[in-house]
Amino acid sequence: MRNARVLALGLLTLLPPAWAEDKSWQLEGYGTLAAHLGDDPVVGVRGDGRNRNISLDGKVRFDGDSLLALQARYEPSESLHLVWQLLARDDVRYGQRPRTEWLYLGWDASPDLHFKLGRTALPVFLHSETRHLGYAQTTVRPVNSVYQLNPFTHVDGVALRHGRRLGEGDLRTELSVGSAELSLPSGTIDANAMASLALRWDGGPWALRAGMAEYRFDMHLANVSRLYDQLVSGGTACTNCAEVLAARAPLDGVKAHVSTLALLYESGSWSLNLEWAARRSNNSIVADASAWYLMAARRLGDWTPYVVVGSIHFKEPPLGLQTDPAAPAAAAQANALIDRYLQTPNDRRIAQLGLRWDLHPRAALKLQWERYRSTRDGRLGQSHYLEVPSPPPIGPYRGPSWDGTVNQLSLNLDFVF
Amino acid sequence: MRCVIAPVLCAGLLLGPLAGQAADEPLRSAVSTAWGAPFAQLRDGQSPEGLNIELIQLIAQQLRRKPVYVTLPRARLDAAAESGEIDLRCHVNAEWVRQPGSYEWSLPLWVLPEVLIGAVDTPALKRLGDLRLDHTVGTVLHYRYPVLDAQFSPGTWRRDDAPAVDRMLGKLALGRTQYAITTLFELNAFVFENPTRPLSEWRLSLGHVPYQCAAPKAGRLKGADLQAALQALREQGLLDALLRRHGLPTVAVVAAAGSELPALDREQLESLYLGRLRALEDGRVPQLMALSDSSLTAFSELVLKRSASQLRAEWSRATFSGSGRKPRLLDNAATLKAALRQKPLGIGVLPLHEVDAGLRILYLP
Repeated sequence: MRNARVLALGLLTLLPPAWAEDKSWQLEGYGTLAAHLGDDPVVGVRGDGRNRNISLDGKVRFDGDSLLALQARYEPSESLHLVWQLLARDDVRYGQRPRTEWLYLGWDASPDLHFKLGRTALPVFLHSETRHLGYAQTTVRPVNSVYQLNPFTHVDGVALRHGRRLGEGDLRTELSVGSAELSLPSGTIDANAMASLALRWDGGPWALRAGMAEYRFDMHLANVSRLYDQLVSGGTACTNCAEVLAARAPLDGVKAHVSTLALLYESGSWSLNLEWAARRSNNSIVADASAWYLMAARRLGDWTPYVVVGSIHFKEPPLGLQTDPAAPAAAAQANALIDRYLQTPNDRRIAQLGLRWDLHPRAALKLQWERYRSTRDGRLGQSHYLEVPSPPPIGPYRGPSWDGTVNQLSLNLDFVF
Repeated sequence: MRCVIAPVLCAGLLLGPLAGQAADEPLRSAVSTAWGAPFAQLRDGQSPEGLNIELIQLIAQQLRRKPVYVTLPRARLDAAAESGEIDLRCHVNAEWVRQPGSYEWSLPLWVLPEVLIGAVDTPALKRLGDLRLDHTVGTVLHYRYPVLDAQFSPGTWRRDDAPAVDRMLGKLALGRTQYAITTLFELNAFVFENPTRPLSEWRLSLGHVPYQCAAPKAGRLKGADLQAALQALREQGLLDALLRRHGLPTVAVVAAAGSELPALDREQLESLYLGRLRALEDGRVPQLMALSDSSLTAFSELVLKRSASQLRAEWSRATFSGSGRKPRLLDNAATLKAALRQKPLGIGVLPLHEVDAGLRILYLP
């Protein structure tokens, strides 16, 4: 963040005195005015996985997807441009304070080859570069079954984009390398090496996209460290926790790999999006997983009804935490639950029905109903798009159990300017 | 003027010629026997049909007059206009008539793209100058072809006249002429109606000419009334609807007349306007422009096969993802034309009626 501010100040110094009249400057933006509510008394829902607050038991929240972004673009020459995008949306670490989403220097080395240096989006998924830009999406927000697999929304480094004609269509290649720091309430995740490669071919109404991303990062999270300390110190009479956690859930040197495939069809009144992603890692906390969704939409004048189905499935084998035979039965139960919890067994299916209304050339109103259904052990606790309170020994929650289903209703006004 | 006693009568007077000219006075409108589809279809014993006929009906409705069709061969039209036998001519321009000064002209309603085509096995011509003067060019009797006369001295190229456009194209399909000159719209209609009658795949663009209507000064229609009626039809969207009903485009992709940019196909425009590619095949990077009015919707649906909202969503994605830049959107046609004149690599989207002699059509949907 500090580097970004220094870069931003550097950009500001380039402002010419009469910048408002200078056509090489452009100031544009986008935003969302949003309301959402979850209907479950136990499990809360968020608009974004990094929201501070949840909606619970029918309480309407306006800070889920609401956001405002400003983008300044300066073109000192035909082939160079500077872009600074500031984003303000409720965030678990930064609150509503604006933060630098992007800040980069772009260079057109040739008409087909483009470089960026600075902070850019990591182009892992179909909508990675525009995940906050609701106006550009049919649905209220990117389908979280897939998008939660990559928590890193930006990268500080170098990005390359190349376009060429291939067959009856156009092929775009995007390569990105760099590092990032992900801030959480309990600490940070430092990704000191990230790289991604994405290929997208567009031909007529069809588009096919394939991508892969590699991550290497260290986790500095106080809450996880406390849990580890508790297990390793014998608080639950675990006899092999030190070895198992070091082997299966190390906090340093975590390696992860994400593969993605997407198929799009967009022609006339019909629009279909199919996106699939799989994650593999050497850490059970960053659980192996696969996820997908299929969206079908039909445009009827200014109205676009749509339907989405999808799921996420985690595939982490048991850690095999063992309990001292002399310990009470409760200790064995606790270790078994913790073992299960560390496998991230939060499989779920999602279904959405929604309606987009393009009420203005620069604005769209969307109404969306989304249903989450847990298909495996979701009651053990999770904190992302869904906030499931954790029962002992993982957390302090002792209330009624979740029935495994929660509905979320969203009403968003997306606009660009 | 005070209208205290008879306000209804006064209202009629104030409405002027549109409402005031005798509603029962017929609007004598010329119909040429040389016209072909989609502009007119003339069958023995049947009322004429086609785009031109519907246009005449729209004008007559606007003028609150009853259309009367005066069907004449091409050779008789000028004389009929000059002698006051007709009140209205459409599908005409000043270069096609004997005495342009004997008419009051409307503004162009749209343009007619002219093409030279060949018989099915005729080698493609890259430019008009490659036309062999010992080969025959199919033409319509008494039609004038200024573009050929400008390239070759009048009388030096061999024309083979047919009484109507469809007959001319029929002769070309039979191989009785090597080439034919017509408008792209008539050619497309002929190919659609005669799928088994082969013509060359290539088309050599010869530019475009304005499609206008005119009120003969000897007739019983004032030019100002004609222009007012057409303007009202334009504002009500009825002229664009007329074109769409007959499968004709309402927009064109254009460059400055002196631009060296090549003709483009739909796929190239899709790649450029959706930001997938920035350069043409020869490496040149065009500057893309469009109007932020209803022509953008037509362009989006006809060329890019997307709704306007889908297009705007794609452009916002490009803008805010840094993956490309949306085209420059301008407020009016005059500004866009001025920008095209200044930029040799400029490409713009304009309503068909805004295309003028200072522009070259790169693509028609």
